[in-house]
Amino acid sequence: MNFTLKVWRQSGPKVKGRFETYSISNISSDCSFLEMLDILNEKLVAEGKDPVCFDHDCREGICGMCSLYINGHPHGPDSQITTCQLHMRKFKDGDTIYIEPWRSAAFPVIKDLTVDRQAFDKIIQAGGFISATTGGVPDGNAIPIRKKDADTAMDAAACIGCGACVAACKNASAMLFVSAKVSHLAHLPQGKVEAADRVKKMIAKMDELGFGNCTNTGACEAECPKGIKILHIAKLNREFIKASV
Amino acid sequence: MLRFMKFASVTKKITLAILGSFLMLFLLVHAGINLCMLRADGGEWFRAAAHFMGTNYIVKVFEVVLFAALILHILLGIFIQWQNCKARPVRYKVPNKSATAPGSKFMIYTGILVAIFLVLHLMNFYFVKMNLVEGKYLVKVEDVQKADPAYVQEHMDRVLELFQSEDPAANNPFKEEASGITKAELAEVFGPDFTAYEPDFYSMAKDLFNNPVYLTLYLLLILALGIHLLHAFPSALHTLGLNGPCYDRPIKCIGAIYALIVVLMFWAVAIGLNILY
Amino acid sequence: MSKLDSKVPSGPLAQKWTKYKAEQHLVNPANKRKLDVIVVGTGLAGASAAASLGALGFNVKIFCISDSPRRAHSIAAQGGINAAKNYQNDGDSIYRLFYDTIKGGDYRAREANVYRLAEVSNNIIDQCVAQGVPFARDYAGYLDNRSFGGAQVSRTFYARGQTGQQLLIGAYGALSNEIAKGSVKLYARREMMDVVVKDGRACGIICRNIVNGAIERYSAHAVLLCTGGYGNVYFLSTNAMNSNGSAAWKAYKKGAFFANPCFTQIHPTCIPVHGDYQSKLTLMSESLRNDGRIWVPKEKEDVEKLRKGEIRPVDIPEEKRDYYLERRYPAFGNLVPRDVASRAAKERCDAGFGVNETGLAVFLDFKSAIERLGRKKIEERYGNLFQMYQKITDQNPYETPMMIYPAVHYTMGGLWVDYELQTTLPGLFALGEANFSDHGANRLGASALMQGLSDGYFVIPYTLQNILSSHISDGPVSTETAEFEQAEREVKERINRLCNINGKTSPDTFHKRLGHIMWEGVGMGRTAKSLEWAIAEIKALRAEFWRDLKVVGAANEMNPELEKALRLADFLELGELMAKDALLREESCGGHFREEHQTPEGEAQRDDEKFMHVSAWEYKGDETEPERHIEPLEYENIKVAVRNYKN
Repeated sequence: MNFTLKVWRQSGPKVKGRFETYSISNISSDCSFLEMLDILNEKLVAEGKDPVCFDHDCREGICGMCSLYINGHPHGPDSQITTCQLHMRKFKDGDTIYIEPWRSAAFPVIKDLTVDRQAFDKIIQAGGFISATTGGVPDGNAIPIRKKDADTAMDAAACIGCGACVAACKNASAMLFVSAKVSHLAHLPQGKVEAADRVKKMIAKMDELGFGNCTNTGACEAECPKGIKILHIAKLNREFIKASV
Repeated sequence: MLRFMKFASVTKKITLAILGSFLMLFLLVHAGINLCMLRADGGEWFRAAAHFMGTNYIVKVFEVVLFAALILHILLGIFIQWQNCKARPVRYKVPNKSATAPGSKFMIYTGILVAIFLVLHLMNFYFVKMNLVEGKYLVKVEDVQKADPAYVQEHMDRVLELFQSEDPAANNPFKEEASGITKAELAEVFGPDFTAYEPDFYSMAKDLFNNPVYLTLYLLLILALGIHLLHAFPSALHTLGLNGPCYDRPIKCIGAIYALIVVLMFWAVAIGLNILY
Repeated sequence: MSKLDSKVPSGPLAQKWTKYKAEQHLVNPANKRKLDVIVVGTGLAGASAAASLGALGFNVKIFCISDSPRRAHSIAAQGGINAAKNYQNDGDSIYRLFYDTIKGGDYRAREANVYRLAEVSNNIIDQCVAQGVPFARDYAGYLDNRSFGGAQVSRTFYARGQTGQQLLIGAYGALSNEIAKGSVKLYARREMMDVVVKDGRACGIICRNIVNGAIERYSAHAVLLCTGGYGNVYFLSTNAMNSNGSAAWKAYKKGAFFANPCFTQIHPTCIPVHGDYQSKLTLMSESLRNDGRIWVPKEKEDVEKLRKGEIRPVDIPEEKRDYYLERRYPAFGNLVPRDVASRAAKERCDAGFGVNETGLAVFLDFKSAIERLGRKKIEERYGNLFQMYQKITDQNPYETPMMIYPAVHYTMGGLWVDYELQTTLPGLFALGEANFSDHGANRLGASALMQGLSDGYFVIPYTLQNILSSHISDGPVSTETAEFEQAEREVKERINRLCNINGKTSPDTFHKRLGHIMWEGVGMGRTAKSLEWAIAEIKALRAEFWRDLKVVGAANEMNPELEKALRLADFLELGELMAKDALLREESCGGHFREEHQTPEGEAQRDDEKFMHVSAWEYKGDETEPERHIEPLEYENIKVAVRNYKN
């Protein structure tokens, strides 16, 4: 397969970026998107040019490191996958593919397609945990947890922190990310103790970091590689109201 | 304002949702009253309802609340939009193609259209009541005595003409109230000091909806309102935390039905007045 | 006598850890504040260690290679974590977990360490539940278990197919809590370049800031390496792209011994290789072997037809299928340990029964499980794995059997550590996969997570205090010393050298070639000949690397090519040590299979007489051969036997 790639190139955080056009040929349809970029980079290196910088690590859709906005979709046109799980068979031969970094005031570009997502860590540090320190905890079976609650908690906990929700949202809001953590912990008895404090602190941090407001469009849900539902945002709102009154 | 700006994003959303919900309730009431115009009674029911809404003290209190809610809703919406624009300073080259809830991406635009419509609507109707704009008026038969007797005597034939019943077969040859009177006519017939008249919304609406340009504009703007409402209903409930796995679908359905009903009610009145009367 | 003192406390096995804790030295809270600890790596071991030490009051600095601690490759572990809770009432106990782990490791692990691991395994589950890890539960609300390879009990706790992720998020949460409190400072996008040694003690590290290329110095009273394994030496492995062996290798070069480098785990259930552009292999969780049955056709003609696409796998009738694991190992069936399953797959494929075009794949079939349990149940258990498989291969595993083949997955070898997890370089510790201690020659499924968390949560907080108690009056460690100066200079020189070779070949090309040599020569079946060949090839490749490498871009900016080159330079040395170690270990055990040493039935043949020991390599300089040390292994509480999964 042959493709024309329009790739965002930006040599540093403060430098003005631009799109560069590359053509790439003889790509197998079984090739993953990142492997296609590897091939492109090998080609660029052979020509003595700077390869395209992009984040990636596990290449099996769980670390949340890869982050490309491909033809108007975070993680590309397939559903419930990360970019590393996207395969070229999802494109047509001869397609022009636009590759852009996540765009958000809270995710500044570091280089080319690599963005800085430490804002997510800061939100978690604001309260996205149960503050049990090591040792002195009861037996794992001491508190039974309703299967349904444990399952819902797991649904929310599947978040990989990739930031596709922010990238997809027209408002660059991080509500799905925050709600996944709030909902995960609020569904478990262990997490209920700090629930009120947690939701307020995490939202305050999210606002402080410059993410937009949620307007319930559902774009985040459509693009989330782990299929996390915006119903968790409703849960977050509920938790917030409970915490505020 | 500064304090307000510091409120948590979720607080703002919840406020927007509560205000929106209140406005959604009001729309139903408004549409319901409008429907009265379709009754072939020469506007009798509608005028009665309008009279009640215009004179009842509880309604008057609500009116203040309503305007406050409306203004706050608009300001808050614009403020949130401004914040959202700031959250993505560099836009994407390829516009986002993610699947989204119907109408949800255009809330600010449909909102602005509704706001424009509102200005027009207020100018046409509410400002008449406030005596800021001239419209058409009605006078009740018992209020004729409040006019300067000299004027009434002088223009008795005009007064009788105004109160002449359209139905020749009626028992009473006179109507309870005279309608569709202009300001100049009022001054001429009842004297310049006469104030015992009310705005005649029915006649004004009938005139407006018989203007094809206005009618088209009205239908389109109501459609914009409908699109706004399509997302507004489920979104408001979602923001208020009143959504869960079992309610998600029903809420979306009810939202769609609600939006459809509101649009159809307003449309029916507009088109009905145009065709029927 | 050996240079290696394992410092295992005396006394009965079950009392050793209790005794150690009772007798160890502690550091009082006021003094903890005066002690700096560096943790490199934020996987299960690193995050749990940093969180626990931070909570105790130490000044912790934690370094991660990615943008966030949550990206560490522990996150990719799918199946589960073992613990001897015996919630199922199926006969499990601490001793049995200990026994299974030693046996699974083919009697090449240290008894005391493994027993301690089994002992604290239960605390790990409690700790994780308290942190909000959403383990699977039954309808009564209690924790659910599944079974895993190498065990006859159900002791594996799991969170769908994302157990590693959930455990890591738990540890990451605890870490985030400490970061927010200020007891831990996070340095993201930093790669450790070297360990700094002063007066024979590790006193800090040199890092490269991946964002701007700056070389930075950090000092501490103790350095903890939690940097995972070195499986990426094979280029194609289930490891993440950024996983590397450099931190451990630098430690080795600064005096820490490297133990059992040849013990590599080849995981039996990975998606087969499909092209030379491929960048990594994807693991399908071992838990699939709970319900999936592994087979190849009995007859060659069916194989031929399959390869040509003339028939589909479902067309082959039951009687023409060879469920070779069930045939060879009736007692454990499809749930034999990983090394056994991998070798059996290789044996069938080498015999010409591989089922895809490359001849390197076997079937993992869920047909009978779907018939028995219903599709819904299977979907509930493995839905995300099936989805992942389908996304990658474009085949629907509900309808056609999966194709799998073994791939490099884990390295049991690593830095040699004593009972206290300290390496032979004082002040330097190794935790998790980075050390060698608990899995012997083969790791059982769901034990890596257990070991990482055990080291981080429940071992290092004790042993580190014991060691640091004698350093409370050392005062702050300065970075303005000649040793730091020199280490920084060496790092910069090395980077300069790599950037200025100006050859023609990219790091990835070299890495692929190294991977090929390693897989062919030091792979699943090794011979003296293949190992000697590999050593010679690696040497030649290394020379070519330093002659013909091409690194584009500058050193003082984000430069992934330079990062790859730096890591590869170390792999090119490490690979050779692996081959050397494999060559000298003239026996087959666990993941190390020397074809010269097998039973007539093709099973691994150990030589306990000569090789019941840990080999630990000491670096003697680039031009000098490393020295092989031995830590003898003694089994006092377990009867050493031939591993038998047949009956």
